[in-house]
Formats: sequence, C-alpha cells, structure tokens
Amino acid sequence: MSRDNRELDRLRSGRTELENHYIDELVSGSLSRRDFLRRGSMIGMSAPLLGAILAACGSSSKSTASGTGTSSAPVTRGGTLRVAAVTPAAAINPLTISDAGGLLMLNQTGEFLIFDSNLKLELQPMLALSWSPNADGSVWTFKLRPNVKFSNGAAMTADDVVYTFKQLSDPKNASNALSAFLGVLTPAGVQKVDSMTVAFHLEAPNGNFPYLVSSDNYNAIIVPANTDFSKWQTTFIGTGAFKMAGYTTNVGANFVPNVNYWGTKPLLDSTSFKFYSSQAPMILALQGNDVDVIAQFTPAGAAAILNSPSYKIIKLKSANHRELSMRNDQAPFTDPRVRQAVAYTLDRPGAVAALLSGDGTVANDYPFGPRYPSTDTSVPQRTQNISMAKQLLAAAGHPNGIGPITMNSEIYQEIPQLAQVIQQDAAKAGITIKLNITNQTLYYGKTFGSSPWLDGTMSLVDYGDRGAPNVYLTAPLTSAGKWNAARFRNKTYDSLVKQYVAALDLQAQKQVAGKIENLLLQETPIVYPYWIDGLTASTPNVGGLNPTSIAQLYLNNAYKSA
Amino acid sequence: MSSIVDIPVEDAGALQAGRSGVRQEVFRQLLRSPTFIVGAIVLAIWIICAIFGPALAPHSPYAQNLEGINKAPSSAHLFGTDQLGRDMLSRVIVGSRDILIIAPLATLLGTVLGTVIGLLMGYFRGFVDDVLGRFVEAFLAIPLIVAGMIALSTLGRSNLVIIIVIGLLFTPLIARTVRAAVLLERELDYVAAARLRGERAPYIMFVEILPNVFAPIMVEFTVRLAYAIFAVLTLTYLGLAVQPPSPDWAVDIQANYGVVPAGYWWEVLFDALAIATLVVSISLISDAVQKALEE
Amino acid sequence: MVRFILKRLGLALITLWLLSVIVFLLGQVLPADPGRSILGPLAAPSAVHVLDHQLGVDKPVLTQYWNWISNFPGTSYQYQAPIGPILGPALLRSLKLGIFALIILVPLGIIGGVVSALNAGKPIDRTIGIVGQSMLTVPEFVSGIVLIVVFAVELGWLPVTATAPSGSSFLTQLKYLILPVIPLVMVLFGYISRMARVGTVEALDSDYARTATLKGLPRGVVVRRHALRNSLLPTITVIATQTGYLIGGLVVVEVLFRYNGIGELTFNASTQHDIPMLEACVLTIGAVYMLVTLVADIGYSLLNPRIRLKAAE
Repeated sequence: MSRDNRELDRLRSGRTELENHYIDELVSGSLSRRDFLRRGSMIGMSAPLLGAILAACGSSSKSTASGTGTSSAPVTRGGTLRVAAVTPAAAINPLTISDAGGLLMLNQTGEFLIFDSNLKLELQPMLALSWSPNADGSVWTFKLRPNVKFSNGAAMTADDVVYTFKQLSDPKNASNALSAFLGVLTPAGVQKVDSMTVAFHLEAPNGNFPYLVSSDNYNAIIVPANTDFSKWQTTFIGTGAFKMAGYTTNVGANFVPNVNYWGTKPLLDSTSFKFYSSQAPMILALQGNDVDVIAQFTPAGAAAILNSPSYKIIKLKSANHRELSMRNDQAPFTDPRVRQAVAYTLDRPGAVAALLSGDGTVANDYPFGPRYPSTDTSVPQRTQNISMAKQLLAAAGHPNGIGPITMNSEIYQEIPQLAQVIQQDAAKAGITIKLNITNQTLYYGKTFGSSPWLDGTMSLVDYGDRGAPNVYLTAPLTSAGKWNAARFRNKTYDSLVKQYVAALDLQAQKQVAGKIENLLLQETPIVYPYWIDGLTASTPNVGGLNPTSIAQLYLNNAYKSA
Repeated sequence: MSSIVDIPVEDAGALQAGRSGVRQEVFRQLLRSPTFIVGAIVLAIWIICAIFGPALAPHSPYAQNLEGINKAPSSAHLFGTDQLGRDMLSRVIVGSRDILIIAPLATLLGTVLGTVIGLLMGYFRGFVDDVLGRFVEAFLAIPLIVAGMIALSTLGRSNLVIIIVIGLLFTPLIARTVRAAVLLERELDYVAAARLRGERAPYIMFVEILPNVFAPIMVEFTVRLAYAIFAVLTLTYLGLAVQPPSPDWAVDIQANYGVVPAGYWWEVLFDALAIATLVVSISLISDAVQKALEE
Repeated sequence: MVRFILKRLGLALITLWLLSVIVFLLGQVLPADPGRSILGPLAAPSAVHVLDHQLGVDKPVLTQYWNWISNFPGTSYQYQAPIGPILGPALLRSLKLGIFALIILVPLGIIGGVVSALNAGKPIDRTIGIVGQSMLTVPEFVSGIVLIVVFAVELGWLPVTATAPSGSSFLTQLKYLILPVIPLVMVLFGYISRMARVGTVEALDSDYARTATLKGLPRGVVVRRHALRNSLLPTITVIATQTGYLIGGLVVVEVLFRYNGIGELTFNASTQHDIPMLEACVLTIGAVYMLVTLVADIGYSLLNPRIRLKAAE
C-alpha cells in the first residue's frame, strides 16, 4: 500500500502543532509506527485517528504485540475464570498498596483516567476521554468520560477525581503514590474546572505526566469523594466492569459483573482469584487444572510451562529490570574505569538465555530500553570484553585485579542466580566478589545508613516495570535521588535529567536521552544486565486476557470456552 | 534404647573373661559388625569428600557454562548440570563440607547445653527443676521455622547463626533425656557416698554422675545429628543458609526443587541421595555402638 | 487422678504465660518497621513514618505488652484487620491436616515398629529401619513436589492442591488432603516406628511377657495384650513432642499445596514483620502444644499406672 497523500493532508488539517510534528516524523521515517502510536495516544490523539493516519501512510494496522495474544478458541459467554495470583502482602488499601498481589486486586474493580496498554503499546482513554497540555507542559487538562457510574450506582464526576488525586499526592498521607508525585504534583495543584473537567497544575513542566495518572501509577484508581481508603477493602468500590463478591485475606477473591458499568458487559459470569505464596504451586495448579490463568510469572522456575506447547503464553515487553550499583564514593569504585571494567565482564546474552529462558532483552548501562520510544538506539551496545576489562583495571592502578568486594542482594526470583553469574564473569578479569544474599525485608532495610540495598559497596536490586523512564532516571541517579545506592553525584547528569523530564517533544526527548546514555556509559555508576518480559500463562481454551507488564490483569473481554 | 539390628555373636572368644579393658572389647565388637563397617565406610567417603573435595571433583563446582544448562546425566557430566551449567557431580562432592561441619557442631552445642541443664534439673530437682522445666517447655513450643526467621532477621545469615539456632532448639530435648537419666542415677549408692564424703554439687554432677550418663547422651547425639541435618534443610528453605555459590547440598536442593516439574530431576535427586546416605551411615554407626556398649 | 490433672494444668498455664512473655520479647527484638513492610522499600520515608505512627509502633514496651495481652489476639499490622477471624480458620485447617497425618502415621508407625521388634535382627527389621531413616531426610518440599508432579499432574489421580472447594463433603476434603499428608508421614514414620520398636522389644523381654509365652499363650495374643500397650507409651511421647512441628511447622507443605494453615500465616507474619500476628500465631501453636502434652501425659499415666500412683503421692 502506498502513501495516500491526499488523505494524509485531510487528516492533518485541524491538528495541533505538536500532532503535526509527529505526523511529519512518521512520514519521514524518524518515528516508527509503534512509537507514533505511543506518542500520539499520549498527547490525546484518538485511536481511530491514529489508525487512519497510519493507514494513509501505508502501514498495516495489525497489532504487533509479540506472543500469542490472539486466541484460537471460540468466544463463549459465561463460565468462571480461575486465576492464580500472588498473595497480597497487606490490606487492600488503594493508597498504600505496593505489592504485585495487591495491585492486581485494585484493577479488578477500579479504573484509571488512562490505560497504558502493553498489548497495543499505546495510552488509551479510560475514565478520561481526552487530555492535553498547555504550551510548556506545566498544566494538563483532562476531560472526563460522561455517564460513568460506580458499582453502587452513584455517578462519577470531577469531584471524585479531584478527591482521589488530592489524597494520593498529599505528603501527610501514607500514600505509596508519593513516590511518583513528590515534587511533581501537590494537592493544591489538583483543580476542578467543571463537573467533567479536571486540571493538574504541576510543580514543573513534565512531558510524561499522563503516565502518572494512568494505570502505570497503580494506586491511582478513581474512588468516590470522601472514601475512607482504609475501609476500601470491604467494598472494593470502583467504576470497573466487575464488582467484588467476596474477599478473604490470604485465601482469595471473587468478582461478578458490575451492572452499572459504562462499557461492554463482560463475557464471563464471574472470576475467582486464588492466592499463592510462591510460584511453584501456581505452575503446578495450572498443570493440574486447578486454575485457568496465571496472572503473572517469571521465567525462573517456569520451564515446565514455557517448554510445553499445551499452554498459551502472553509475553509483554516490559521495563522490569535489575540494577547493579557500585558505590561511586568508595574505593575502588571511585574511578569510572573500574566501574566500566565490571560492566565489560558481563555476558549479557548468556544471562538472558540461561536465566530468563530467552524471555528478555539485553540492556545497555543506562535505563533506556526497547520499551521506551525516547531511547536513542544509535548508542552502541556494550558487550562482554574481558581483555578490555583487564586493561581498564590496569590503567586505574589495579593490574592484579580487585577484591574481595561484598555484593549485597536479595532472594527474589532469579536474582540470586544473576548474582552468581556476575560473580563468575567478574572473576575472569580478576575482580573477586563475595555474595551476601538475604531475604527481601532485610535487604531493603530502612533507609541510607541502615539498608544493605542502599549501603552496599555493590548492590543488586530489582526494579519493576514503569511506563516512562522518569523514575529510573531520577531516584537512583540524581544527586538528591532517594534510591541513589550508587551515590552518583554528577551535575551535568542532573541538569540533563531536568531537560528530559520537561521535554514535551519526542525528538527533544530523544536528543537529551542520547546525551544521558553516553554520559552514563562513560561513568557507569550502575550496570544494567537485562530487561525482563512480562509473562502471563493460560490454558488454550482461554482468550481475551489483557495483562500489563506491571502485573495488572484486565478481564473485561476475557472468556473461557469449554 | 535398643539398636535396630541384632548382631549374632559368632566368635565366643570375644566374650572371654580376662580380655583387658572394656573399651578394647567394644572396639573389637564394632569391627566385627557389618552394620558398623558399612556405616563407617560411607561416612568415611563423605568425610574424605569434605576434606579433599576440590581435588576429587572432576570439574570446578563453581564453573558456570551458560550454554550447557540443565543437561541430563551423560558421560561428560555423570550427575548432569544445574541451572547455571555447573557440574552436579563436583557440586555433590564438594558440597559435603558445609553440612559435615554445621550439623555436628550444632548437635554438639545442643548436647553440651542440654547436658548441663539436664544435670542441673535432675540433680537439684525441686525448685530449680520446676523453674528450668517451665523454660524448657516454653522453648519446646516454639517451632523451628519461627525461631529461624527471627534469628535470620536479627542476627543475619551466616553459618554461625544456623549452628546457634539449631543448637539452642535441640537443648530442651536433650535436657529432658539427660534429666531422666540423672534422676535415676542420683539414687544410686556412689552418689550418696560422694555426698557423705562432703563433695560439693558441681563435683558430684560433673565428675561422678556425668560419666555414667554418658551412654544415653551419646545416643541422643547421634539421633539428633540426623535431625540437625533435617533442620538445616528447613532453615535453608527459609533463606537462612550458607551463601551461594556454595555447593552445599541443602542450598542446591532448595535452589533447584522448583525445576523438578520441568523434568530436571537430577538437579535434586543426587543431593537428596547424598543426604540420605549420610544420615543412614550415621545411624548405622550409632546403632552398632549402642549395641556394643550394651554388651 | 483429679489432683494430677489439676497440677499439670496449673504448670501448663504458667508455661503458657512464660511463653507469651518470651514471644513478646522476641517480637520486640525483630527490627520492626511494619510501615515500611506494608508500603514497600520504594515508598517515601514520610509516608512510612505516618503509617508507623498510626500502627502504634512507637509506644512504650510495657504498654504494648499490656495492650496485646488484654486485646488478644489483637489486630494485624499488615492486614489492618482483627487477627481472630484470620487465625481461627487457619488453625482449624492445620489441625485437620495434622490429625489426618496422625491417623495414618500412628498405625503405620506402630505396625512398623512391632514388625521390626518381632523380627529383630532379620532383614525386614533392618529394612524398615533404613527406610525410616532415609525418608526423614527428604525435605517436605522435595517429596511434595515429586508427589504432585507424579500423582496430580502426570497421572491425574489426585488434586494438585490441598484446599477443597468450599462446601465440599467430608470425604472430598479428605481426598484433597491425601497428597499433602504423605510428606508429613514420611518425615515422622522413622521416629515413631523406632520408638514403637523400642517399647515392643522391652515389653517382649519383660517378665510378664515371657511368663505368658511360657504359659503357652500364642505369640499374637502376647503381643496384643501386653506388648502393644507398652509400644504405645513412647509413641504418645513422640506425638506430643512433634505437635509443634505438625501444627506450626507445616509451612512448606501449606505453601506448596496452597493450604492456608497457621504455619503459612506464621511464616508470612515473620517475613513481613507483622509482630501482632506473629505473636498470636506462636502463642496459639504453643497453647495447642501444651494441651496436647497435657493430654499425652494423662494418656501416658492411664496406660502406665505406676506413674499415676507415684505422682499422686
């Protein structure tokens, strides 16, 4: 199909400057089809519009989500879908939830302003129909979807949205969302414009703000004004397609369709979640036909279902990764050459193949990766080079290697084994590492000074998926970053990050990203081994699952044939 | 406690009166007993592995090979390879070291403490017995898992912590047995004689009574040893274990049991067999010793 | 007899109180930052602070102990809900599993022990002994996972989980408990059969047993009437001492078979530093243990009159 210029011109008229800018980039080829979808949806362009533009540009409109998301089972109405999920670690309180099991519960009945779709790789309207920034990106205005009702029949209005975000961004609350909103949004900045419009006045221009009110910020489900969050667990009140039929701490939860839902009625009669404390029994349950779906699992230990053709696996490109930080303020890591040497010893492709069964992507030593369109992909990928590592060490004054250095880490998924791989690889260049791996609670500790994670000379930690790289750029790496285990203090870096955060334009973001990437490669305060795919598994008769890479699972369109 | 096997004595000469020393007697009995010999050989094999492991192992137990992971047993790797491509045979050989150090030390700690407390309770009876008894009972009620988790959280993860936790947890059990034995002993004449002589309590307990309750203590030690190994496995499951990349049997079983559903049985079987043979060898030896001491 | 029971009961209560103090102190020793545990490592310190204060972590120790004891079982930090409704059903489930295990284990162990004793020295004796010893070294998570893979996944004979659907009949519930019970039986069989063997051998050796045989009574009668009672005695002791394990130590089996028992509850509480929950669980397990010990003591003295009479002096 060739480009239909006339159609394109027609579509262009009436678009904003920014939107036209993106269309230009798409046409010239500097923006890929996928990235165009993401950027466009993020600034509020509707899906039909985006599709039309793409069609006019001559590309097909099939989804490129990898894996077997399209199902071969016939769509059926009815039935109960049984889902294996991780046991929520605490009370189901939308403000405080921070674990995978808990946030999975939130999205069953709760909805967000925007939905960050991993399957279609775009931001989709959910409770907000459209949104747009002001000229410099410091004020974002959202128009709400009309005729939305909560599961108790009450109508959703701007008052509810304002209340929700005021609570989430209030430093006086024990709110988990503060990790996203501190410094970005204050309660005073959340303002009602009219009964269907809300405006967010930010502390500073932020080009990625829509992500912060999307499903990415998993605490941000919209609740009725004046809801007591600590009692939310008894009602699970929300605007979603399902409502809660029962919740038993530690055991499981059941949901049935919400008759007041604004969208299409679910196909299922009900959903039943069973909680598991560890992954092995989940896999056995799927094999033994005790559940139909595993909401999310990691490749480590899942060979039984990954290697079997009897299960459908949905793979999502996610930004789930691990960070090996080195104390830039402690010998021998004060010299960047030593840090680079460590990075050069790692066999990244080998690690992805062995530890993730191939379900992942090699990462370069900065937090930009395949999930992010702003990644400057022209920066060369670092590969294993033992002789280079030895040379760097010698140049830094360590011809006979260094160590023993202690690496702190945690018992979590495949991390203990990654630690051993790193240890072995580093030994090849004469770097001796001793492992100190403890359970998660002990590893995280409290804060600087009392945390093996933040204080270790070397420290290997997990980072969950996020829709934009902002958190990875700031918290672990900026001078004031509260997770800066590497004690990296670089003024150039700090100002580059400020520029990146403020940039509205993808090209501008990419430019800054390129500079950040090169700086981080040079300094290497942290080694990033790989990005891990998000995996969901089901029996072949299940279809319509909509998982996200942060462990949410939408069952609105799910079905189960006999 | 009786042994699980009865060895018919074939050589009546061994029972001849006039042979010098009970110990020599016992020793000869042992050497004649097939149970003891089998047990001793197996144990010796593992001790040799523990000491000379690295020299005996065909490959380094730490050498990873990310291209050859999860390979079934073959001529190149008799026990197969694990999730990081390491040779399982080498890991099993070298992995004997930690468990052969930790389990006996933990049992020893429990035995020593338990003996002291048991002696105190059994000899003094009355108030001392009642008070100590309450503490002993209370500690018996604490499950291993809980004690392990608390130790892990407060003391961190190291071999020393494992030894302390298991040792302390065994103390009440051993104290009970020793107490029962001491209760019987203290009624005997030699204790009364010592008291009449004016000996003080510590002397009577440790010099007079202790040697005579030695036999049941020895028996307790060997029985507890098997449970010590079991306890190490449980604590490893909780994360309170030797640091990787140690090829310790318990650590490998814990790290690899999750892949059994995938069909990689060799990553667990050989370690489990190693543990089983070690424990069986210890009980064979202990049974033979008990039997010999009885005669 | 009544005096005996009352005396034991009194002692047990004192021990229970002592246990509560020990458990409370242990809880204090744990690095308690439940706010951090709930909000996770990535939350803002200010948020953690607020939550900790809400949970009352900063009150003086004695106040906390008194609050805890008077409000037993109290409120869970992590679940922000009363512990009672969570603990009660969990305890019941663990008891079901433990009792079912005992029902299979005790007869099996006694038979094993008696057969060993009757054939002392013969190969069957040795075999039972070695089998018992080796089974005990197989950790429950290994035997559990092998059992599930073979019998539930591959053969499909039994369910993959221990939790029967709600409203299941008693028999169905038992069917679900068959697989998880096996690792427990494997671990304890060796110990029980050994103790039973000891008791039986001693009984067979005793004067009255020999007299009975000399009088011409068939072996089976001698065994049943005299020796069996004595083989039960050490078995009762073993069961009592292992109760702590059978109720609170089943974490591994409960997690693998997805069975929400008190073992798993205790384990989660200790990893999450949910001190009230942890203390409530340990104290409950301790109380059950003491109850069982008391019953065992009474049973023991019923079977062995000498103890009862001596204690009553």
